[in-house]
Amino acid sequence: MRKRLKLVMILVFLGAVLYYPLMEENEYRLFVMNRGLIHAILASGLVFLTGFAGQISLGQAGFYAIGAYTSAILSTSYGVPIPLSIIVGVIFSVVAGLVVSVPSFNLKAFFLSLVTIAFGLIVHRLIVNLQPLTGGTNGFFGIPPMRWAGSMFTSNMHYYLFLGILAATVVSMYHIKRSYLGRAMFAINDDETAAESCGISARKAKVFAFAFSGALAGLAGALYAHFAGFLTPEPFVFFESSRFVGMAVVGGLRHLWGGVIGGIGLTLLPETLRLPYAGWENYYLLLASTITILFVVFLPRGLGDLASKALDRLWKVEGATKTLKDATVVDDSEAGADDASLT
Amino acid sequence: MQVLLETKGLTKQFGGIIANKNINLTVNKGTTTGLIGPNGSGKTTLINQVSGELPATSGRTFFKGEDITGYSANKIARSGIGRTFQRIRLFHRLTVVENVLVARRHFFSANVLDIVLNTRRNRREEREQLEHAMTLLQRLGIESEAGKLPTALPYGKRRALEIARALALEPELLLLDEPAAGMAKEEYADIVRIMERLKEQGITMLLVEHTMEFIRRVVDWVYVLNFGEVISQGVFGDVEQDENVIKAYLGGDETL
Repeated sequence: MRKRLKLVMILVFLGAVLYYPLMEENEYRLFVMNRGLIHAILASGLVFLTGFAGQISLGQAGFYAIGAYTSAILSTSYGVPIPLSIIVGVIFSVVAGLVVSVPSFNLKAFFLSLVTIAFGLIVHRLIVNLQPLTGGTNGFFGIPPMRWAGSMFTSNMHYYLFLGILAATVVSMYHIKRSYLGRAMFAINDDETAAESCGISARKAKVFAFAFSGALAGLAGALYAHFAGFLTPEPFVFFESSRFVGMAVVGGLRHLWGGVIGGIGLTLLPETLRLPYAGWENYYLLLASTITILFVVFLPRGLGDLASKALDRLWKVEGATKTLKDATVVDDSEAGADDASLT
Repeated sequence: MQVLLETKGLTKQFGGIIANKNINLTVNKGTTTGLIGPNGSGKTTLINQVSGELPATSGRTFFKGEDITGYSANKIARSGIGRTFQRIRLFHRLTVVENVLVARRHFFSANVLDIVLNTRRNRREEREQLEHAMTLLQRLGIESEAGKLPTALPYGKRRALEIARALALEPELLLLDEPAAGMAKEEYADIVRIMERLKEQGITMLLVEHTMEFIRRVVDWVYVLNFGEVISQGVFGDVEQDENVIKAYLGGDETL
């Protein structure tokens, strides 16, 4: 009976997600939703980096920018096919992630965050100053859109593409979390010395975490470039980096779905608050930020944690028996359908 | 008798403070060696130097004849030296069995792609290693706690888990920093039983301990440290008669 309820809820959820763009009449809302999906991919990378591996990045917009500008420049100025230019964009972001991971070997929390802020600023200044390559503050225009069978991607096609990539991201993270790699991430996060005594190289684990989160940010950036059609340095400032961290925190840093919930939620929130009252336009961002702060203060574990607890209560599965089952039946992953509580 | 671990002139200096000086220590294969000495005599420092957590100021460490001086802690662990800590260090966000699995890391051969796609190979290895980890928990009598978080365990079982995790490396040498410290009576009996079983299995151990009764029961050879130097060594029965040792411990002429 419970199992059937669970199945029905998952099917309803899936149906709603798949049907959404077909019933959405407001093109702008769909555009915002698509940006939300891109942010969700990026924020998932931050959940991995910070929630799983315990490393901090306040320079994620830097990776986002590297992915975006690499793919834009290659496809526009050099005629590289878009799928390939996106892949190269991701590779460049991974390389940047490898470089940024080096200071994390010795630096912790506050000092590491300063280094990552500096990284983000450097990338931003490069975009502004390398004008012949990036268009500088004037922007980079004429980026070719993605195409399917000769015609340009519609909003709906973008939606399904981004949704598919996001789903693949979450599934990948789910599998990593339950593997020796995931355990190594949690171990260095809990206690680096103890992890080293277990034969885990903390350095390698950090390199992997930065490379993985860099890859997701770069992928998000590359998708954004072709989706938007033009780039300016603006979406890549420090403020955006901190907004990405905000998304991961509000969604739930230690929760598999944290990036998805926070990325989409915090992208939609300001737009939802944009009600047509006179003079209100100046305040909706203020309210959105206030709500974000309230979430961080009163719900530090994030919405993902809250949601999964509520669902658990619904399934009436007791916490203790559930973790025992999880721990001893690791191989149960083929039964992928019962993944509503992927915590 | 085959030498498993040997330190030659191992010295550790923290600024102007010398934690230990010119330590020459030999651990033979299959034996249990004890390190005793008053607080601050450099016992834990020595363990940390051998395990690679602290780089030695000078001197060298040889393990199975190989010079492992300057190796990272994780490389030393992988080369066959497992350890526990004076203050128990577990991974609090991982379950008991997952704590053990962390140390099985290098028994996996699945790559990132295997993991992301959750291939048959990855599933098979996870299953095999899980079985292995459960066997280890069973050996230490904590298999019923497998799914719990370590914080839910009583102190004695946490220590047993830490030992299980160290054993998961399949080490040839086990470093134990005060394994019996802070134990209640029953817990103490459990840990002695565990040590005796490990001895029977032929696992070589180097341990720091303050409980003399414990040393008497499980240790074959003792080194006594004071102010960072080895002041005596031998079988416990001889060492406890040594005047230098008595003086170091009690500052007088009472027996231990």
